[in-house]
Amino acid sequence: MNNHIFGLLPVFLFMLLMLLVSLYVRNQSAKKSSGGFIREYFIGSRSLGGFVLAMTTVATYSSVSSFVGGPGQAWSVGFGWVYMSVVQVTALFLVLGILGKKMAMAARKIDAVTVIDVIRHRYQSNALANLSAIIIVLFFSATMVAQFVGGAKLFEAVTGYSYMTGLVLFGLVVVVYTTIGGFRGVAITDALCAIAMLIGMFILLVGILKAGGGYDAIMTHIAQNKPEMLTPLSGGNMPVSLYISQWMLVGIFTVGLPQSVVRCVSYKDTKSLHRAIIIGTIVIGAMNIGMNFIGVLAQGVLPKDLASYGGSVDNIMPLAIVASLKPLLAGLTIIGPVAASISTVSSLLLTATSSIVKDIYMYHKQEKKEEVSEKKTSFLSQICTLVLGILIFFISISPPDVIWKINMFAFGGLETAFFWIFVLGMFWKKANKRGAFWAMAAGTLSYCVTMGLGFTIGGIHQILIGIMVSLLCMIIGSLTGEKETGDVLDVYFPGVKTRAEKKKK
Amino acid sequence: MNRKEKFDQVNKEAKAAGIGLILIIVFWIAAGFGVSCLNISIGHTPLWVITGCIGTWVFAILLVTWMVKKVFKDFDLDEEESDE
Repeated sequence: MNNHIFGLLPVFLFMLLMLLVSLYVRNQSAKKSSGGFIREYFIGSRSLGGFVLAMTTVATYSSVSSFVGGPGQAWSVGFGWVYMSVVQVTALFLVLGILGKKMAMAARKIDAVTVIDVIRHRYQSNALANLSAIIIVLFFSATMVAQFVGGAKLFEAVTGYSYMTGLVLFGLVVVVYTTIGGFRGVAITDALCAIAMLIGMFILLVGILKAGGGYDAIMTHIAQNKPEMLTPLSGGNMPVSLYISQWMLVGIFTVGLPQSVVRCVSYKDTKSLHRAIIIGTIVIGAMNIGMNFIGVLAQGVLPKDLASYGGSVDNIMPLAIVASLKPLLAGLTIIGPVAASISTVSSLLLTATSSIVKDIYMYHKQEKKEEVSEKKTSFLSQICTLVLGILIFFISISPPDVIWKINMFAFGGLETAFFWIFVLGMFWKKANKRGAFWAMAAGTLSYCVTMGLGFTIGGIHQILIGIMVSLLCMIIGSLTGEKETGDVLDVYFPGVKTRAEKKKK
Repeated sequence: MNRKEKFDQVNKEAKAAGIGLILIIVFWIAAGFGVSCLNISIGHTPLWVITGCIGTWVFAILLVTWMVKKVFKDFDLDEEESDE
């Protein structure tokens, strides 16, 4: 497909819809808003219902690689990849089920807006809060660039329009609508994005089945030519160590991802949380199984070896879309990956901005006892979102190598940095300032260093090392350091204070 | 529920989520690696693909639904005055 207007039109209309929705949400919330600008802009005044909470968490979590890199790998290794991707069904209920209510109650009690507010209060440490903010801004920025590049490359490959056209079309627009809509806008557009992803997936599934001559024909082809694709270990392409790595990386430790945890302080009530756990588990499973299954079935459309398709699994999905769908349908389908990209970017952008404005700037002002007017915070928050977004946009035009390196460290790095900080902070009374700081600093550092050197234990992803080091530091630091005061702990462990007082008597 | 009871309930729910995780891992291993040893295919699809992928997904949905209905409880996330 070359420069066909049908390739451009659906994405264009979809982006227009996103923009209109954000404008609408902004007007609506301006009418109802009562809780102050910052709370409205960064967490939507804690008003998310179950469906939107589920969809925005899934959409933020599903990135462009869920649509391109992942299914490309599935094309290459077979059903083992689908089997591995299923571990992600745990992601939603773990973060919402384990941290969901406790974070929500603590955040309400101390009036926290960001996850760093909670970290700062729980551990009574500004150094830890600043380190968290730096890690979030750095890793989120690199991830956003990667999302833009992935989306724009796919757009170029499928529609024939230039990389820049794609980047401007959805890159600039997502920055603008995030700035306009704030958290509520992001949540609702995310929900629409998740729906678009499911629709795109469905169209592609039907298209590939048709183009490949039907399910039976495709499966027969695979059984005859690449039988290893039908086994879980895929003839050595899917070693057990990879399964274990993925269980940790995209399953269990996703609990620590700040972009997911922030959802825990933004929903309305327990009913919403309960509904979100069920809906989220259904949707995230459907999306991962569906997309990777499609990846395997793409064998029916692209039967040759990888070298004939440019030597990169990232080329597989764009080629499969072009080979199996007419221009208009292809144009509709790429809304899916574009939606995956922008829904991740919008949430990361807003969380990164909240770290800069709320956790660094406003906190600094507060310390100096300087009053910041509502008007000024409103202006600063929006301008900061816009400027950071545009900066990310410009970097994405031609990203330097260092961005790819940071991006490689980002996902696991965020998990290593925050997993124990949140989990032990909420469930272990003894976790304290020293332990948390060591855990975050040493965990992230050891993760990045071993990752950079390519050092592993038994071929298992470096997340294992990062998490172990972080846990050890947390335990040793907490046992040797001073316990947080009763007043602080009482927010997270009611009864601690009175018990301590009784002991003294 | 007073504040203390709410937090006890939340700890219980977190524990349930942890146990849920273990159950899903066990199911996943049995339905995928386990079933693949049987070498059964249904039509053109190996059985382990169905049980390991779609089966694990359905199992997870049933499990969290049960968890949310039976273990998780509704309460007000804000502090009520009677709490203190």
